Amino acid sequence: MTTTDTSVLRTTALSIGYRHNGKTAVVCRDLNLVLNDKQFVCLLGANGAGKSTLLRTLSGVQPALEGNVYIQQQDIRRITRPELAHKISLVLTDPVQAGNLSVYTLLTLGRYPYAGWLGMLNNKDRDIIRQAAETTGITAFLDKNIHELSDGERQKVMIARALVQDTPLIILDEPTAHLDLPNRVATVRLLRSLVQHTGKSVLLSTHELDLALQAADNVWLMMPNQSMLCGAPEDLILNGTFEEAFRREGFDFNRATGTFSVHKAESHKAIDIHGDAQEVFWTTRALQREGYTITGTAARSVKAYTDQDNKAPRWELRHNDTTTGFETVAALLTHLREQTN
Amino acid sequence: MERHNPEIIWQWPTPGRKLTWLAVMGAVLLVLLVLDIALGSVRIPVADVIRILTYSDTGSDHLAWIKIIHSLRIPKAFTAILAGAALSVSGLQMQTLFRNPLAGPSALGLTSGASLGVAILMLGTGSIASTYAIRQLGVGGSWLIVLASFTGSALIMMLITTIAWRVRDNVVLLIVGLLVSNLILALVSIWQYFSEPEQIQSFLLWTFGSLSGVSRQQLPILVTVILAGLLLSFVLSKQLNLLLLGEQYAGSMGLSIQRTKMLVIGSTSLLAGAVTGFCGPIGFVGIAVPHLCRAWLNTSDHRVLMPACCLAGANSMLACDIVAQLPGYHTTLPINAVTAVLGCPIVIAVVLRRRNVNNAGV
Repeated sequence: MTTTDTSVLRTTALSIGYRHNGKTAVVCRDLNLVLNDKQFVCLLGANGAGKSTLLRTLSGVQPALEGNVYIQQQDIRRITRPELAHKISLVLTDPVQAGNLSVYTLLTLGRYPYAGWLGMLNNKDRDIIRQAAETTGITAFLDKNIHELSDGERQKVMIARALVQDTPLIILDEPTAHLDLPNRVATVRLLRSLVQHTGKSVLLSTHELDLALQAADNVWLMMPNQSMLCGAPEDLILNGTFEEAFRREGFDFNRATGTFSVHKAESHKAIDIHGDAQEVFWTTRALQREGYTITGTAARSVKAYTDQDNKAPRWELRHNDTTTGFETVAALLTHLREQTN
Repeated sequence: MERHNPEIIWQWPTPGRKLTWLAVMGAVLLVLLVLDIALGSVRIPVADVIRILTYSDTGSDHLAWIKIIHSLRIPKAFTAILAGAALSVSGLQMQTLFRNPLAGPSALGLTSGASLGVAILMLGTGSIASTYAIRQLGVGGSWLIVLASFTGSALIMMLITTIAWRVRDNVVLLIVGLLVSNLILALVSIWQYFSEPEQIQSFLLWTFGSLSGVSRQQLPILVTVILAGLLLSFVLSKQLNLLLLGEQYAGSMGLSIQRTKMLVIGSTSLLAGAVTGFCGPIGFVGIAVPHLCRAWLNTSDHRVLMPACCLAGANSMLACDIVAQLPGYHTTLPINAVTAVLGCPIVIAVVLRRRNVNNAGV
């Protein structure tokens, strides 16, 4: 039985890195990656792990040290640059700096791989530009110059430009690095819907784990030992791959929440907690910050709940048969600090 | 079923206002041209200028005027137009290529490169020692000047491009350009020190810059070279537009960066080199005019900026030439002093408005 290869991008035994003055610096080796049609893949890795090098190699900017990169089953070395511009479009980290460049003009530049030497647009070009602007929600500021836009808007425009280039694969190199949280979420949501509705594939590099875990169909995790872990984010979490990978780096990855624990638990501090879900969640965070381990067998226990009389959160600390009430988390923590010191 | 009709909410930006500005600049060009021809050591009434230019005055009354206009004023005015257009367009291309708002043929040393070429020609060759001697050679000598100044400019432009490729810092690039420029001028002055007085005199006259150095016979050469350079620049408009986004984006859209760079180097050197060879070093037009055009027309589209820079550059040079005539009947001011006086404030304004040259693109 044969299956048809629907990969947009595939690598076989790929080694990436740099050759300089006869010396070779390998960043990552023996990569066998597959990026399928209509897939959203997040490339994760610490700063300096080689995300950009990989993206540069995959987009044909720099040659591979060993192995092959196939774009739509075609060896990238056999694809000319103008042809490649029909297959891969880029969105980069740094915002474009150009005065007096209107959003509309910028979008038209995306049609360069298709246009004649004068860059005249035909109706098909206009349709594609219009669709890209509508999909990304930037029609309101088409006439504005890009230096008048916010960072988030500008990144949307760059994504629209990539759409205008009309390639099956869009590669984004840390597109959210300069954005604040709402814009980050908006950008990822936009990309997610692009994959769903336009049938394009997206490869996005980031060092933000939570973002990647929520949005990606597949995660490529670059390890410091020149290897790469691949899989659906949930699989990597559930089978403990993440936990193990990060523990080696000295990080405490929490399988239950999909986040890192910032705070180290101190051995003598244990506390039990129960009550209403919301209050328990936030109180737990506060207690963990103080170094407490949450356990059912501790001498101290906290009840965090919503008081039915005045609809406000309340806390009760029970320790050696004495119960103390608190109206804020801060008060509770102050009391605990006094007790333990 | 589509809920909205895209045709109604969608409005394509129209080029109307930009075309109007171009038309206005064209009209201003005609007015300035007539004024420039009318003014000078002999003032000719505008009405007569128009009659002579349109060949409707063939009477014998104004034979002197006809001679002045055809052999002196027309070459000078057209030289001004060509020089203004050429310097502005080469400045525009350099600002885009280096993504540096202060780039220009004089700022990055192209004009000094051309000076070096001309100096080698004028001071170095013993037999055809002076400009006068070169003029004696006629058309062949003019081509020699073009060739020398083009080679000088192109060498500097290549040097600067190489440096720009290694150093991404805008300010460093400007400083290096300044230093290279000074170094070359120093070399030229050392050379002058060892040259014959006649050679030095003709070279010094050349360095003052003058639009009247181009004779009616040389004009076709200047026209040919500048038109070739401008044509190349116009063809490069689309590629330059892509470079606005930076080399990485441009490359990802299939642009051959290396080839585009070489072509831009070629056309800027041709434009700046030829003008410098014939008129001497003229500063500030190349930096200031592109900024004025971008601000006026509110665009970075080179397909609009190229014609705009041609027209605005030509207008500025004609205006500067008219100002240079103002002192009176016997003297004219050196043209590069006038361009500096008028251009410097604009450049200063650009620097102050941006505050941080490094932070801003073009």
